[in-house]
Amino acid sequence: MRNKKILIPSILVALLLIFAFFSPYLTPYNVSEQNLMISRQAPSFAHIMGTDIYGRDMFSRVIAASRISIFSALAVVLLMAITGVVIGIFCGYLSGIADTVLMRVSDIFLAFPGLVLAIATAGLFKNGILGAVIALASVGWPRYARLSRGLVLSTKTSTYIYAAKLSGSNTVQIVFTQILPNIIGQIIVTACLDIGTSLMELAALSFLGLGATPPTPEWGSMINESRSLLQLSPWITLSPGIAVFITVSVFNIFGESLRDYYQAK
Amino acid sequence: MKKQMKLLSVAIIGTLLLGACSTPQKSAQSKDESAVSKEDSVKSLVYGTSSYGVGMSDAGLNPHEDYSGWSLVRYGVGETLFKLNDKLELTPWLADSYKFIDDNTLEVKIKDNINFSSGRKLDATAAKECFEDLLAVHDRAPKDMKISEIKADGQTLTFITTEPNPALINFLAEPYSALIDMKTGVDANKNVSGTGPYKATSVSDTEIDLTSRDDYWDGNVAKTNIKVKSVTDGDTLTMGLQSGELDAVYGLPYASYPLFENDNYNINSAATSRAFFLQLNFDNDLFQDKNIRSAIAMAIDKDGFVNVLLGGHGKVANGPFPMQDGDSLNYSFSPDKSKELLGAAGWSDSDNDGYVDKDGKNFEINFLTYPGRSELPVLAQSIQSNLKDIGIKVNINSTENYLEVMKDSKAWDILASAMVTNPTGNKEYFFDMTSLSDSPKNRGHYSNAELDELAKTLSTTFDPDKRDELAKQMSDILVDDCGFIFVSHLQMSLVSKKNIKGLTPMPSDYYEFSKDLVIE
Repeated sequence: MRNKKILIPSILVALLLIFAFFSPYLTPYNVSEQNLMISRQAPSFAHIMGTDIYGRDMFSRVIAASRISIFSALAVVLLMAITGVVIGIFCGYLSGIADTVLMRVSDIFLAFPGLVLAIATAGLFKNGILGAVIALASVGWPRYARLSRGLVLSTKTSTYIYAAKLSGSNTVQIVFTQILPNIIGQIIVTACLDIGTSLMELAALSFLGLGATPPTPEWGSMINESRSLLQLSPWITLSPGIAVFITVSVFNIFGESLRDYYQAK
Repeated sequence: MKKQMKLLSVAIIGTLLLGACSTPQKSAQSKDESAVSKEDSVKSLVYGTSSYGVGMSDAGLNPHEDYSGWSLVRYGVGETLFKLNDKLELTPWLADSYKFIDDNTLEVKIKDNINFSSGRKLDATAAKECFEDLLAVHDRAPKDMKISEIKADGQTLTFITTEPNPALINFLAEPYSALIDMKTGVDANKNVSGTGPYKATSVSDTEIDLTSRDDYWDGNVAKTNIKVKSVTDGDTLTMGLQSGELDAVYGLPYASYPLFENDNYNINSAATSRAFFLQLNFDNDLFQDKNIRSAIAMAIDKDGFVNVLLGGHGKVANGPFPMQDGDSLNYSFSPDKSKELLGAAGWSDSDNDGYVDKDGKNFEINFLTYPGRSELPVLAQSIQSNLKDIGIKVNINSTENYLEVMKDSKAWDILASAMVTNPTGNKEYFFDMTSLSDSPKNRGHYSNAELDELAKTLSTTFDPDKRDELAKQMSDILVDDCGFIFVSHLQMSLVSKKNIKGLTPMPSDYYEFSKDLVIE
């Protein structure tokens, strides 16, 4: 029963990832080819999501944008999770002065509103989605560091860790064979729930012009470019908006079901 | 009985007559009262604009600071000696007449019936004090005006210049030349006393409160209180006007105009000399070849940009100044001809990857622009597609930090920017600023000896017709050489509720509020 609850969200996520990966091959039209003769056409059989101001097919652009939007969000989560977990385990297991210094550094990061700090950081990089990914990851790692440190602190006093030490395992072996497997579930759940948030934050950075550069389709920048048209040609703004909504929902449902799965376990 | 009847009749008739006499009197009196109350009732207007504030370098009303003179004149607080009419020709405003005594001396007679809002009379001495402060503190005025001495005598103001300066009267129409009372000076909030139909009661970096003057020298001003609000986001302006929070706006996104094309609103437009144009980086050897420059010029779909992407709110450009009837494009849109020109320059798509190449290298350029003018990123994307069609790959960098990017001459190849090319009716200004070998805004280091030579002649020519002819020649050279590529000119539009009359834009971009502004 528990497995069934997680099965459907897992299938949806898998389908979404496969779809995003192959998206450039699934577009009915060239995503960057402009045709001003058909600018701002309402949805029709030829263009089921209509066309944008440059006469580009919105359906094709929304599909093509899925790859960069979704995989960029995954990259953000992966980067901040790996960085945060490494630092968290290091601090939690070894404690001492390094723990104190790194945790105070993470306190400084946490003291700022995440997105504001990300905007400032993204401004340091040249325009582009890579800059946005690094910016978000560089401000998001402390949460993972805090989480994993806390988990390590509660795990490292367990009897099986003492047993491992007595059996002659060194620190690296204990971390990889005993601690990491015991805390990874919670990290994965957090990461899955963060994918949706990261996608929204990437969209926000792109909306502010700090993400993908034209003509690369990206959901956030597509919404930004078309916001003035919301009243007159709503399909141009709503199409990428709906895509963001669906994707975030799928990842959040997956994260929730994964959490339920691990909690029950 | 008869006598009583007679007395009664007389009394009735008398009463009626008195009544008849008194009624009109009372009616007239009430009419007068109503008129007075109508006259006395002060109407209010909230005006949202994207053109006021620190970001536009025009916050406050001190004309001697940065571009704040534009705000002073735009919002009807200050006036200049000369004004530009709807054909961008100079006409006297606070000046009554003028004459060049010799090449270095200009004499201006100031009108005799003008007071500042402080109550002080505007005479030559007051004007002299103002110009002396301007020349002492402003960054552009001394270089523009080249004034060495100012003399005041009654209403006669005399300017003596260090060298012949035919454009001096044009600079006297520049908003930094707006006359303010230097005795009251500039207060801590950057408020001043001007001669315009309105005076400011409160000034901040984001808002100005104005009230109409009863003692305006050029006729009656409808009693009005105006709040000018800085609204930098176009969509906020749209929604503000729709919701009724704003009564009139400047700076709507092009996409929003159809929302107001109905009986509830007025849209008043004027073609301006603000040009959207491309500067090529001549430090890049690519652009030394005229075939390449011409190929790029002919690949750009200017009509599509103006009529589709700007919704028709602009004018296709063939030079720095707006096209006149009968003018035709030097390089009309022709992708096929562009491809031929690229071929002639040795560029062809030898590996069939969609991009032309030479010596194994694809034709790729870095296109720099800034989002401060909402049209520019749209233009960049449009040109990116146009150039892709002829096999040139364009990487767009749209950043407010573009001046920093340009410090590295290899970081950009084309700059798209916007500029008012003829702000004071002095066409020499554009060339001086951008296209001569030593121009401060010649970002791409374009150099043309013929243009430089003509500029020297223009700077010493006083005859307006000859000056126009020289400017036309220079414009033709610049366009023919593809030194710069001009795409379009801005159409400025003010949108207001139907009951607001007299809010009319002018081609010069300096004037918005006048004594003709009436709220019905």
